[in-house]
Amino acid sequence: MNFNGQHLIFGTVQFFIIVILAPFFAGFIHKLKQRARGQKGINIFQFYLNFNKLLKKEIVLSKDASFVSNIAPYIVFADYLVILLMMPAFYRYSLLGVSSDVILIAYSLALATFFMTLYAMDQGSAFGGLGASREWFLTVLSEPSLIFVFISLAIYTKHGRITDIFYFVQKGAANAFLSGIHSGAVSIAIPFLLFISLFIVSISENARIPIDNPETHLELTMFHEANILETSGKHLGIYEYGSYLKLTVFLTVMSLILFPYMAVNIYQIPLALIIYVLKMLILCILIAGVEIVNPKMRVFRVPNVLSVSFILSLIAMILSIRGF
Amino acid sequence: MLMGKIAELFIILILVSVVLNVSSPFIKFAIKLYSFQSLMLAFYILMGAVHFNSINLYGSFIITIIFKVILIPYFLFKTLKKVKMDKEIDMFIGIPEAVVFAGSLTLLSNLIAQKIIKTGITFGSFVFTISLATFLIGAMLMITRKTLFSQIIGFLTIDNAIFLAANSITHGMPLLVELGVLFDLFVSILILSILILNLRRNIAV
Repeated sequence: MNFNGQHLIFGTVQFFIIVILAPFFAGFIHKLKQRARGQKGINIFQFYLNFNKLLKKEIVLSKDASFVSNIAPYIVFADYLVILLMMPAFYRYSLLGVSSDVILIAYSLALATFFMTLYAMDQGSAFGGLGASREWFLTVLSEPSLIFVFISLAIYTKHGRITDIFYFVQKGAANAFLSGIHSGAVSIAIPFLLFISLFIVSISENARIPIDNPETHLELTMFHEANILETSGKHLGIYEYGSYLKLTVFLTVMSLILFPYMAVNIYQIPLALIIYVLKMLILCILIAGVEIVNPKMRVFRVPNVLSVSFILSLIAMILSIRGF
Repeated sequence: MLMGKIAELFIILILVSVVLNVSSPFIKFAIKLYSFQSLMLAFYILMGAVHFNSINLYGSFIITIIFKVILIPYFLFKTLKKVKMDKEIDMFIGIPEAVVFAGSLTLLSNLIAQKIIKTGITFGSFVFTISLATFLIGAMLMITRKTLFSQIIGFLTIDNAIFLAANSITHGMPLLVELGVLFDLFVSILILSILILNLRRNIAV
C-alpha cells in the first residue's frame, strides 16, 4: 500500500469524525430507550455536555491507590483510540490500516479491559474487586467468539488486515450482484452468522441490558459499573468516553459486516459517510430494541447465551474453511 | 446464483434454530422454534421448486406448511396446555456443555461429509453437512433431555434433518411418498401426545 497525502488527509478526517460521533450514538440509544418507556428523555447531545463538565472537576483517589490509578484511564482511552485509528468506517485506507491485524484488534480490546479492572482493584474497595471479577467472567466467555468471528472473517476473505477484509467483501459483493460475476467468496450465510454472533458479543461487552444494566447502582446488577464506581472527575469522564468509543468499535465492525461500503476516492466519500451514519443509526435502533424488549438476565444464564454466540461463530468458521 | 445464496441462508437458519433449541430451557420456545425451523425448510423447498419448476416440490411445500408449521405445533401446544407442564426443561448435562457439544457434533458432521463427498456421490455438500449436523444434534436432544415432551422435539428435529437431506439428493420425492411420511409423523405425534396425557393421568410423572 503506497501511502500518499490523500490517504493521510481522509484517514485523519475519518478518525476524527468517528471519535466525535461516538457519544452521539450512545446518546441516541439512551434517548430511544427513554422515549419507549414513556419518559421525556435526555438531550441527544447530553453526553458531550457531561464529558465537558466532568473534565473540569478534580480527581479524588483513594489513599491506597498506587501509580496505576493515575495512568490506567489514559491507557484505556488511548487503547480505544488506537483501535479506531485502525478501523475503516467509510474510507478504505485508515491511518493505521497497514498494521490493522484482526488478532491485534481483539487483544487490544482485552488490554483496555485489563487496565480498567486493574484500576478497579487498585482503589482498595470491595466493589472494585467484585466488579473486576465479574467483568473478567464476561470477557473470558465472550472472547472466544470474538476471536472466532475475526478469524473466520480472515479465512473467508484470505486477508489478515481488517481494511483488506472488508474491501474484499465489498468488491466480491459488487461483482456478484451488479455485474453477475461469481468471484468465489460471496456468501449470505457466513456474514449472517457472524453478525448474530458479534451482536451477542457486543451486547455483553458493552454492558447492555439483557446482560448488564449500567444505569443502576445496585450491587446485584453491577458488572461494568462496579469497576468505575470509585472514579471521579476527569477519570470518570475519560472512562465514559472510552465506553462510547468501545460501542462505536463494535457497531462499526457490525455495520461493515452488514453492508460493506467504503469509499476509495474523494468522490465517493459523501455517499459513504451518509451510508455509514445510516447503518450506525439502524444498529443503534436494533440495540435499543433489544434493551427495551428484554429484562435483565440472571447472571448464571449468561453463559448459555454466550455459548450460543461461540457456536455460531464456530459454524461460520467451519463454513469459511470449507469455502462455501 | 443469488437464489442459491438465499437458499443457503434458509439452511443455516435451520441449524441456528436447532442450536437455540439446545440452549433454551423453555418448552414453549422450543415448540415455536420447531415451527420456525419447518417454515425455513418449506422456504428451502420452495426455492428448489421455483428453480427446477417441479410440481412435486410445490406440493411438498404446501404439505410441509400445513403439517409441520401449523398442525403439529398446534397439537403440541394443545397437549402442553392439558398437561399443565410449563416448567423448564430438565437436562442431564448443563446448557453450556450441551451447546458446546452441539458445536463439536457440527465439526464431526463436517468431517464425515467431506469423507462421503470424496467417494463420488454428488449432491449439495453444504446441505448435506448441515442436515447431518441437525440430525446429530436432534439425537443429542433426545438423549440428554429428561421428559418425554422435550424428547419429542428432538424426534421432530431428526425428521426435519432427514427431510432436508432427502430434498438435497433427489430434487423432490414423489408427492405420494412425502404425503405418507408426513402422515406417519403426524400420527406418531398424536400417539405420543395421547401417551403423555395417559402417563400424566395414571402415574403423575
